[in-house]
Amino acid sequence: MSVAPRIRGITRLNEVRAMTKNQRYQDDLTVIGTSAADFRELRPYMPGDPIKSINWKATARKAGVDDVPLVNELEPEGRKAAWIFLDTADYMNVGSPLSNPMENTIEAAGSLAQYFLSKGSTLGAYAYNHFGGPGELLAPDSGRKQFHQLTQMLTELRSGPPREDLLQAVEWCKGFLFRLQPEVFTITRLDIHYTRPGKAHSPRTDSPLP
Amino acid sequence: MALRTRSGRGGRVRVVHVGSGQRDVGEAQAPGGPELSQWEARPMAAALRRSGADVIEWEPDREDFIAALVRHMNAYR
Repeated sequence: MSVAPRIRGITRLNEVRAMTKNQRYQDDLTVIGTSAADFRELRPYMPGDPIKSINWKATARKAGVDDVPLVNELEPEGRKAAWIFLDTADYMNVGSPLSNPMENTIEAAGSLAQYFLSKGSTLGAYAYNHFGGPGELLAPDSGRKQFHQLTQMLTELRSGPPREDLLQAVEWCKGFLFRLQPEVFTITRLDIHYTRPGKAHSPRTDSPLP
Repeated sequence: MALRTRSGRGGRVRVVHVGSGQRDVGEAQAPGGPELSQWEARPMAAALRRSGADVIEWEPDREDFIAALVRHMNAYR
């Protein structure tokens, strides 16, 4: 027997102009995936940029101005990207086992993922406050395989104590967010006011990016 | 707002508030649980909107997620 999250398709959104007006290829360019060879501009290095994108000659020419290296910004290629943050803290897990904010969050995330992936978009996700450790990261990718991986991740989500807030989750994923420039969906409860344990809590220093 | 900055130039930031409504054990006995949940969420939602994010208020007891999303998107037509 297999258990899968409840996911409803969002075909009705195709009729909403605000959601579909940017679906044309020219408007939906992202900077992830196979990079095109067309050079666009030089810009200062930002956290998350790959080291190989640093233009060492240009950096050397402007040596002394500041310490920030310059990177080659290439013409983007690919389609629009989306990123989903899921709050899985234990305050989401109230109510009946079948219907509660946690289950509703999973359903919403699945529906959004199905919509964006069916449009050919790149999708990544991060579930913070996951039980028993750091958040669950789904590295960005596209296609049906990505949807299956997201479904697997959603199936295995367990709520945990609120150790991480959204800001920390964003910091954790910032490398991907810089590169993808995605539409960001954050699914949480805004009516919860809690004191995060820890000014003593030390932010994570490891990074999912190479 | 950090999230806005991280999302780069083109991406919108949308925060989906999942209402707990009367399913919340603590609020189940109180009349008007969903209203109380919405009222509690209002200051945070206002702060997020001031920061440039869109807030989608979703009350699962009343409507499915798709309906809430379509309602939100139609507001931006």
